[in-house]
Amino acid sequence: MTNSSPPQRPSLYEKTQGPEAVPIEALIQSGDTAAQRASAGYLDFFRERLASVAGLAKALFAQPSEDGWKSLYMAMHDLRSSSASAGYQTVSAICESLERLLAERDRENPLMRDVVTLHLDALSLASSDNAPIPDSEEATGLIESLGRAVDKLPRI
Amino acid sequence: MMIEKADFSKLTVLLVDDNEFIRKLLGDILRSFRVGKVIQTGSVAEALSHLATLQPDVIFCDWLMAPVDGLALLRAVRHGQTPIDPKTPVVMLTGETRVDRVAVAIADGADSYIAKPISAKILMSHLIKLILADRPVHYLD
Repeated sequence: MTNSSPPQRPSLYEKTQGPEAVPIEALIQSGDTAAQRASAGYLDFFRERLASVAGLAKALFAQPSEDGWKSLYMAMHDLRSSSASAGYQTVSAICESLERLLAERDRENPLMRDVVTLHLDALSLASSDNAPIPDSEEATGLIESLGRAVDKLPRI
Repeated sequence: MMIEKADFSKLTVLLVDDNEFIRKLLGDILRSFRVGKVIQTGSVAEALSHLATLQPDVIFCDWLMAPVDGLALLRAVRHGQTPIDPKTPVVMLTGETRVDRVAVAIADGADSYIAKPISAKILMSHLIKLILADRPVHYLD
């Protein structure tokens, strides 16, 4: 697929300046509105993904495999960044805690299954209609408890 | 130098991310910036097939994807293994914030690096960074 004479392109500066240019601040405001609109349906997307992650975890604990661990980690990494981008900070913090558990702690430890399940239950709660209010005592307490559960497992 | 105004209507942006929500979020923000053409793909393979016929002005590419990660796309572009200009600006998107991981992307030729979460302001600041870095240079005689 190599091309010996790659196409020349005008510079980005040349392409983006001209009489139709719009103030950057106005574009950012319009972008914020678009982001809010796009994020409105995020929880439906998240719940669907969470159900498939729970299925992944169940299959993994029934038959552990390196690919299974990797898939679970990647799914959690993905959900952590998308939930943060959508503005769901409690959900994102729980995902981060589970991501840390999967990346840093001993998978063979008998507590591993319980702590993973605890995180999945917490995600289910945080994405439900009864979710704790972000930054509330309840939300902070939940995240801290999960962190303590992760710390019970020895590092790899 | 700062940019106060911009017209993105002549730009073509290729978005590569396997997360459909992030694709929608980024795509919607870019369209609200009045970017002329936003092409969204969910894998490196799909992106490569677009690059056979398309010269994007900017590529936004997620890093952690399976089966082929975004770094492979970045390397293919930079090493001239695609038909597009190897200097096409590429912005890597990732949840990774570890310095050693960021260093890998920069060493492999990423023009910029966005650690998720993504917002309109962050996206705009990276676009401006690319524009300022891709200005024509006029030498004095």
